[in-house]
Amino acid sequence: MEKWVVALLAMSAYLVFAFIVGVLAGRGRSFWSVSEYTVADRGLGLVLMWFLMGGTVFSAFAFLGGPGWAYSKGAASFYILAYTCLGLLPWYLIGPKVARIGARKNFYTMGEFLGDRYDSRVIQVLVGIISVLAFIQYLTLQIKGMAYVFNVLTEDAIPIWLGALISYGIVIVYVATSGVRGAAWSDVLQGILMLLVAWVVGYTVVYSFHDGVADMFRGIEASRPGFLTVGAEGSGMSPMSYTTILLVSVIGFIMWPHLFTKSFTTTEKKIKQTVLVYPLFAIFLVPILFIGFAAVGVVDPAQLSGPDTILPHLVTHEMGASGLVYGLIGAGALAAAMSSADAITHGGSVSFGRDIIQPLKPDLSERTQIWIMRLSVIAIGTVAYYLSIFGAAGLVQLLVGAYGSIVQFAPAVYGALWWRRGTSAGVVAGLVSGIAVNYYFQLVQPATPLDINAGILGLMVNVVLFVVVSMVTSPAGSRAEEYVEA
Amino acid sequence: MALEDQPGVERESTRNANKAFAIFTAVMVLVMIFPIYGLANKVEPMILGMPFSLFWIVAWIGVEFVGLLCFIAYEFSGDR
Repeated sequence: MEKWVVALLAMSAYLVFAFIVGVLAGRGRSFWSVSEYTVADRGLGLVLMWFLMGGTVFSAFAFLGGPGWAYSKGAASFYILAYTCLGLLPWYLIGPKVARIGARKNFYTMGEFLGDRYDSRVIQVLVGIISVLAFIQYLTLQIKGMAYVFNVLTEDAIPIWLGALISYGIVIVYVATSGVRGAAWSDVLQGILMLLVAWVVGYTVVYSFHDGVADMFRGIEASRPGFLTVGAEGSGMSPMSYTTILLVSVIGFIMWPHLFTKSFTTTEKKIKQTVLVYPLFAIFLVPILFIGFAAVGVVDPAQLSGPDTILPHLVTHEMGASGLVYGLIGAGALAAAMSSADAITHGGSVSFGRDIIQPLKPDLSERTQIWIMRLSVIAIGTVAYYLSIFGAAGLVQLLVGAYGSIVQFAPAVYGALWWRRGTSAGVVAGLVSGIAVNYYFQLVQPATPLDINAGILGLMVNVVLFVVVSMVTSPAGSRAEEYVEA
Repeated sequence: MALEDQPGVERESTRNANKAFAIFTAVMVLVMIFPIYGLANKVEPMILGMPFSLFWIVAWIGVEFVGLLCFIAYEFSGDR
């Protein structure tokens, strides 16, 4: 049998299995309950939480981007390990507080949480809109990843548009039918698969081109001095740039609304036990970086259409791998992209329904709300699919900016939980200016002062304006106490 | 219903632990960024086949895991 046929069969088997698991996950649960759809009635178990949160980190970026960074930027790629192990630490502190407030007040989204604390519908809608735009950008990256993997590993037999349609179509169906539980259960399958694939492929690649890990790194150090340290001559990133991108990732990680709202899906103890597993997920990323390092000096960058294609290129051009390896890598990479795409699509539908539609039309019945959310899965999915396959330059810029703006929620969230004096005017001033600064340096200016990350520059302006404007305006409600004491 | 499952109840052990946890988080972040990461930002000595700049991160991830285990054991020691 031809290699690509075996690969196609293996990937199809995985897709069928993921589809069945995702759809079955919602069986026997109330189809018409908003609480079940959004937060699984606040009762997800520990193993489901581990994989739901873990699956989200292992996105297409981990599988395709991780090796790409290692191959093209060297030690700068260590930042991926560092932010994976650090990103969830703040959740240990804020998660339980958010969970208690959410259970008492029946919240499902970040917009509801911030909107209630600062007594402002404007904030709620603002958070909803930024979230949905950022989600769509995140989704287009995953969809491109899925489509690309499908296309390369089946040796062009499956065109880009079809690969994306099949794999993302499955995600849409199980998210729309089973809600967060569908995402969680399919993430268990996807998580196990990609962890296995990561280690098998990582070590196979290293040993097919070098005599082990030490030999590989010694070879790189000899041929590319500085490549294995940050900021030296020959490195991909300056120390300031490395430090600030890591900070922005760590602060911003739990501000992603689809992760933040997972506080509402479970209890304090399980939140803390979920944080415990993250260092292990970070360790699992190490062999993924090895894939990229193994290709240094083996693959000429000119042969690649971009560094992110290094893993598929190695497999199809350099290794002489069997069809089964093609299929295994294809399934692993699809699993990585899909396990992020499901959580994000779900998060987008909840944000859209609760933070954008609901505040504008507060008297909707539960049944109507559920319909809005399930249909918006399809709507958001369609938009993301269209943009990732056909693109649209202007809109893409808008989305890239929104993606970088997520970290700007941080001052409002931390302020809600620990600072009594924050006001809605302060939040709006900080948020809007932070986002504006981020857009300006990300999209207009070619470089930032001192090589500081645009998100951090935005955050500095955001914090200053949040504090100053809050101090000169008077707080509207008296909810601060309840949040700080929670 | 177990205590930690009740909305609106913060355990005393949690209150005590939160400050310590904030410091733990700060330390973990600081060792990963410059200037402190600069101490580890070199290739030699290579350990477990990895350049020191990578080994440093992996080793601290191990420390983080053990630290988290201790925090959780302390906070939930009374639970069955």
